[in-house]
Amino acid sequence: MTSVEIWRNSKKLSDLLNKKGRILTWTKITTPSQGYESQTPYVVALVELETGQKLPLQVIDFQAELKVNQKILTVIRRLKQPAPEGVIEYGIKAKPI
Amino acid sequence: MRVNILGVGITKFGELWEKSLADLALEAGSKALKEANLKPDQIDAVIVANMLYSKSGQDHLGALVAESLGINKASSHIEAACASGGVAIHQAINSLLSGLYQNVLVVGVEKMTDLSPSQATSALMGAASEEERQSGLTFPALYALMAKAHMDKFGTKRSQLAAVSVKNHANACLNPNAQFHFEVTPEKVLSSTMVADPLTLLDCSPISDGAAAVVLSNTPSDIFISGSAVASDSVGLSQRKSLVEIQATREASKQAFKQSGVGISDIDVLEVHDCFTIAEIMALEDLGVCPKGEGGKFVDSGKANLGGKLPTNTSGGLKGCGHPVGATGVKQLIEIYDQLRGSAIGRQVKDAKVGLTHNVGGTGATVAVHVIQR
Amino acid sequence: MIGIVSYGTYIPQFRVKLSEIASFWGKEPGEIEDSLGLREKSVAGIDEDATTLAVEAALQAINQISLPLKEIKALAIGSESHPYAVKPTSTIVGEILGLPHHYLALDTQFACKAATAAMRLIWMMDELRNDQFGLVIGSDVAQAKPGDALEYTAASAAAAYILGKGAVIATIIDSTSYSSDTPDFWRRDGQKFPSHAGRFTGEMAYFRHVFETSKHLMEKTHTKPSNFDHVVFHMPNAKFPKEAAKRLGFTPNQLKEGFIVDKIGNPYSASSLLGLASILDVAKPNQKIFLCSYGSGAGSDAFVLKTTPKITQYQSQRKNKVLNQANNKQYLSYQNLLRVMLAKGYIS
Repeated sequence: MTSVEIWRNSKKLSDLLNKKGRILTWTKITTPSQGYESQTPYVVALVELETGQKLPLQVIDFQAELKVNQKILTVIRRLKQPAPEGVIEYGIKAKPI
Repeated sequence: MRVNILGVGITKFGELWEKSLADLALEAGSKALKEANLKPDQIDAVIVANMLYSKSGQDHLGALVAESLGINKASSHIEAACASGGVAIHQAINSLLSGLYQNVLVVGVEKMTDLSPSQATSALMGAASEEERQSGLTFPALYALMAKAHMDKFGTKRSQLAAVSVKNHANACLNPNAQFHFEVTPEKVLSSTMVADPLTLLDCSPISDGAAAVVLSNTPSDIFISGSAVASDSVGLSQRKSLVEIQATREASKQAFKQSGVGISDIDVLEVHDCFTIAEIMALEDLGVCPKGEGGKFVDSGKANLGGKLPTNTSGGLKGCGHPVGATGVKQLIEIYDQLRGSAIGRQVKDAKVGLTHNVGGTGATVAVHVIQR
Repeated sequence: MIGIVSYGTYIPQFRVKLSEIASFWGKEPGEIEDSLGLREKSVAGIDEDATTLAVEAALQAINQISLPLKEIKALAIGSESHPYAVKPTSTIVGEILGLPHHYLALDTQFACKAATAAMRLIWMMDELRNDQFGLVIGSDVAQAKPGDALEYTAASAAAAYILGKGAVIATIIDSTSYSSDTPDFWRRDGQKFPSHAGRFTGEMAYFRHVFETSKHLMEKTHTKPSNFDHVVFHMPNAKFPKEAAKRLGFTPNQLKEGFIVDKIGNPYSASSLLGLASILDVAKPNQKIFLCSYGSGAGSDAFVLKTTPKITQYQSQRKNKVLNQANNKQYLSYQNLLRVMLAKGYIS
């Protein structure tokens, strides 16, 4: 993402932050997307927020086995490692509660 | 409708280090022209199907391929992710039915091995939505989400997913152009490296180079396309009505059946989009071959095998034959054509008269379905 | 009177054991633990940084009193691990929180007292006198060179304070600062890790500044140690604040509630403010609190605070208290920590 795209996206963050939701389905990724190598293996789920909105979110900070309908809270995190000279991409991730 | 197939041409699929995109397009295109007994100046339009070549810095593919084949008339490039081939055929059909053109050459071509594996994997995510890319999802992960939902809802088992891979690898062994010429056992599929659970490496189609070309015409020939439809759905999985079916498949096949006047029970041979094993299972359900939720059982019971009730992916599918993205939709058409004219040596479906191709873009955002008859 | 109307804290869940770090470097774990007085420290996850920690703490503070965002007229973040050398963390946090744009955003840097310095300034702002609020956050994902002594205590956490009038739970009665040029601990521009002057960081740095500032404030406010129910100092390790308390005449009992370093280590700009939060989690109404921070380079900010009767109600509604967060932990191996540092580009 360019810094302009990051900027445009960041405006949406406050609406998505600190919202409750539930996990619809998830998968553990062992072959990562570029930029996610350092977080591998990582889990991404399809989440439904209390607002009705559905979106894919990385799931973080969990110990126990995940289940369908697991309750989550949206939190802010770095999405992936930024390029050394690039703008940092912050985004929403899902934290089981 | 009746759009005639005059000639086809295809390259080997695989890691073709020594061939450039232009080389591949030329090889397939000139074979198709030769078989159609047409000279370049008799081609009114060439449509190139390709998804990823822009990443190498080259756009303007219509002109590039036209140049290599010596074609001076209309040229263009179609991109619809992995459905580029099917959609390009659909556009060619449209232009032929309009009467504006007599002969149209469709060339599907992809050159993926110039990119590193992680570059190629990331590039493929161009078929997904921005929020899917931002969440760290990969294509295998997207289909893994659908697989999980399917397994949760219908009890589909990993062994049934594996059965798709086993079958398609076995079929590929009989296809000289296929990327892979080795069989796999169910155990091998289940125990191969996990990519995104529950999908392992052997549940996933490979990265491939290759080209496939077809000359479509208003000049009559024995084998013709009788139905051609494209349908669309949301780019992202999150916005779909269901995770366990691809609605665009239902929509496109409904239209194609309507146009051709045949139904699923008339189909003798099938090429579906098995980018991942779960995709073939869902395709069989969504095309109406079996009820929703029973696709796993259908494949596992051997009904989709070469000698079975409805031979599916005799080419080896995307899994066994390879998946040079832009070429796949055209390759599927060529496989059905070969089956209908009796030239699918070693893997011939006896007396095949009606065939169907099913080509999907992304996780189901675009689906192109064609019915071919003789 | 202007004071604290709400606060929020965030301690990341990961802990690394000092014994593992010591063993890796061929040191005696027991000796290290004894000399520093702690066994484990908190570390941020691979996708966390000073910005994300600050947001977590701020959200807790804001949501606790359902403060309308447009009332926040100043947002200051003190850190020594700002993600950018040039580009304010405060505006990133402000945008993420959704603050409407008419506010002052301010980043401060003063080693471990970056946030308390900002707190003094914000406390003086006109806007606060006019029924609006200031948000001050101390947030750090402290880094130390692997193998260096600082590595054992450099930790991560954030503490956020909303200052203003209205339903004040602790009034800020008075404060003072002391500043000098003392090169005890520093990090040059472009360097990844800080350097320090070894034992010089004791007497001439920490102790001198904490002592002078605290003495001065008590004189100014005509108070003595026995007037206070709680005291909290910046906690670079478990020994220094205990010694500072002793020299000034405070008792171990007064130090107790704000003493968090033995649980999570030293989260730099969040250290004394997290200690204060820990006190506010349990303090009774009308109790006096003494706080003195320390920032290398060097300086101290000291505050005299007094809780109000409103604190009891506030405590009963605050769900995730400091002690709870400190005890919510998952151990990370030192190997994993190095992997995180590698991914973030701190080591290669």
